[in-house]
Amino acid sequence: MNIRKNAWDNGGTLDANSDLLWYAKGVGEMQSRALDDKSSWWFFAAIHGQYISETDFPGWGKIPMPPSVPTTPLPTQNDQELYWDQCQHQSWFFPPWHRGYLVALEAQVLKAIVALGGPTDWTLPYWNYFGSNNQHKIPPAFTAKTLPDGSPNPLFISARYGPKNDGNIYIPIPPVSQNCLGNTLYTGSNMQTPNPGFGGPKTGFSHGGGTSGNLESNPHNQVHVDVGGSNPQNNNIWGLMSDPGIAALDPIFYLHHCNIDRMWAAWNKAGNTNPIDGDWLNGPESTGQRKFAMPMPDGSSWVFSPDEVDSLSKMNYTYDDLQIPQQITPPVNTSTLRLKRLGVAPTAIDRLNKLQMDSNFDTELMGSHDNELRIDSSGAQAIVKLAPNIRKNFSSSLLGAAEAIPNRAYLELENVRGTRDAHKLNVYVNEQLAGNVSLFGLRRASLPDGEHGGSGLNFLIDITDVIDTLHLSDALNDSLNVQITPQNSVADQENMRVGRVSIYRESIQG
Amino acid sequence: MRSERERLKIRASVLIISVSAWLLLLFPFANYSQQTAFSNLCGNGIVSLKLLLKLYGPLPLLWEWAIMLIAMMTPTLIPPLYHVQERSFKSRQVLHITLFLCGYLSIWVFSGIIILTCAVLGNQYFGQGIMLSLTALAAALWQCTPIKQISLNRSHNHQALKAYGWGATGSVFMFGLKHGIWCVVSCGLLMMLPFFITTGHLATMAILSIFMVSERLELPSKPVWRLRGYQKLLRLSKAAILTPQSYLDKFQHK
Repeated sequence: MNIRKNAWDNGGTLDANSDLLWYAKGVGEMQSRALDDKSSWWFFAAIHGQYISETDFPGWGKIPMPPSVPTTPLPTQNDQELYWDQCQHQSWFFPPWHRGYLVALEAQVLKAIVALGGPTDWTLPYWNYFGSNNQHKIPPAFTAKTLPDGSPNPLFISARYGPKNDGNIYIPIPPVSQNCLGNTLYTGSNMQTPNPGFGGPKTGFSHGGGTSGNLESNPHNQVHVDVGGSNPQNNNIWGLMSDPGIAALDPIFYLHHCNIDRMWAAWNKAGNTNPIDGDWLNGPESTGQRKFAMPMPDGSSWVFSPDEVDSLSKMNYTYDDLQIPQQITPPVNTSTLRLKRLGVAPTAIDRLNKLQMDSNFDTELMGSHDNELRIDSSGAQAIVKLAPNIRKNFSSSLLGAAEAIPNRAYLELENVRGTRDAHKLNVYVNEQLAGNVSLFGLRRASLPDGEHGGSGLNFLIDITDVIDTLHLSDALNDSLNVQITPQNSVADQENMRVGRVSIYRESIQG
Repeated sequence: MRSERERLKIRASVLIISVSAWLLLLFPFANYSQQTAFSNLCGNGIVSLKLLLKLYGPLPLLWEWAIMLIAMMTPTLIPPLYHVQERSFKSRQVLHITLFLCGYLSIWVFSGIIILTCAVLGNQYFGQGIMLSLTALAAALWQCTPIKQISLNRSHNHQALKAYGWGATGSVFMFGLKHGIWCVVSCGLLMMLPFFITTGHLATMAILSIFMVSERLELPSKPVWRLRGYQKLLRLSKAAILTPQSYLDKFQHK
């Protein structure tokens, strides 16, 4: 059994961490191959997503060097249609597809490493940005410009700007968090799991657009934009990791996804189960959609479905650390804390916790700000009007928390569109910070002829705690003041807008 | 926010409505002449149309056209109906769904007048055989055009809808109108074909319906010149053979 290890072992340097040094050499070898070679770095990046035919950045021909990204020769149309633009986002297929992608990439890199005289038991490291000491920073192996032998380091790339767009690459924790590990439901919601679930919403083949699952929202999307950032000197250039069509060109991409995969595995190890729905297990091909396919080192095509990769026991690898950190609030305590805050007696809390563990929830619109919001560098503000009768029902459920499970509240940013992904937005409700969203995937989801028809992205923020606080201070009335503030400046030409800001309430299904 | 329970209700309702409409087409309950108004027009020209209108007025034609649309097109409306339901207050969901359908069907009713006029004039001056060949050729060519793909892509664009008052009424109706426009651009020529097929009229409609629903299920893609429309059917057929159980859930929508 191969063991994937922490990239920060031995200080995360090329000199001391042999996994990283061999990764660099393997990447270099794969980068020497042509675009139409199914074992090349470039072909593999395009499997995730590509902008080869676009003439302006983020077109591949306009990516700042290093690396030098080829745009020819193109593979056959059949190969492009089978393999390219496959990544699954805003979907319950997000975890299993990326697991299969990593398996294939790791196999290709390993073959290249062995051909160079490297170890046959090499595995892809993971970057645990939640680890202690300086692990929130990018491992030094990725910022060194040369390998120990003085040759250029393939792990170093030019278009990587960091959360403050100053070239300092680290993950700010918080708002990035691993709180999703406290969820208990893969798809849907329950008292421990905000909508749309740990793994993501039920979809068909989904190359992007819609609502991200909780693991995907945070930390996945957040880390992408934090690492990528934007070029401070040129508004029209952003970091490779910020955009799904160029992200997999950056070698750090695979270490980030290795950590996401590890988090999924840890979540399962803690007793949380994956879907047993045939539509998930059998993958989108079983319902007449595109299949998941990866080119393998022996030249074969590996067509896989989630049921083949849904457990580490089915894989040829594991991780050296699959523990959920102690600071993640255990599921039952999340709702216990809430019920205590709402003044529910301990005996009632026990009864309600037992009841809600298996409950399903239903949702209804509670309020809306009906006009489109333009977001510029100063942000935007909206008064969200709540329907009085629905708001009263919500308040009644909070008052009656001792008798029945109280409602939950979500804020949804609908149809968010724009031309640049490299942004994070802080969202405030009545001046309380409600959440932080990363716009990874925005540009592609906004394209009228993109796979989501130009509908953009939707963001769901669980604002239950904020609403509870307003209720307890007798300040919950029929409108909420929502402020959206970008963390970095927004250029006018980005045309960032939110179609509608809405509030939903979630109650137990009858 | 989505609710799987509500989505199931929408799918079930649409299927029941579509199947009911097909049954009305297959087993007419009114008198013979009225119920087969379109059948009488198939292959016939202005004289037949004038006679029908003189005897029964325009209502039977409108009625039959509406039943045809409901039978053939409602399964393609499942994704936008999800959107309307999920973005509306519970108390307004039935109203909003009705408004969306009114907007959508009004475009098709208007287009139906144009389609019928072209079909009747075509039959009158060129004859059924030539019209069938020309329309089939035009529809096949249209199928390959970038504009066809653009119209399919636009039907996946689920814009933000207002929630309150007349603003909501207007935005939902307009959503239906726009959806109808792109649908007509995409499928208008295909919908003209049955007018030139006397024997097998209903079977043609059924085949076209399956084709249109399957291409609507396809994800948006680049608007380029290419053969399109059959790929989804092939994949669905393959899936139906290989995984019969999951084929029952073939209407997977985002």
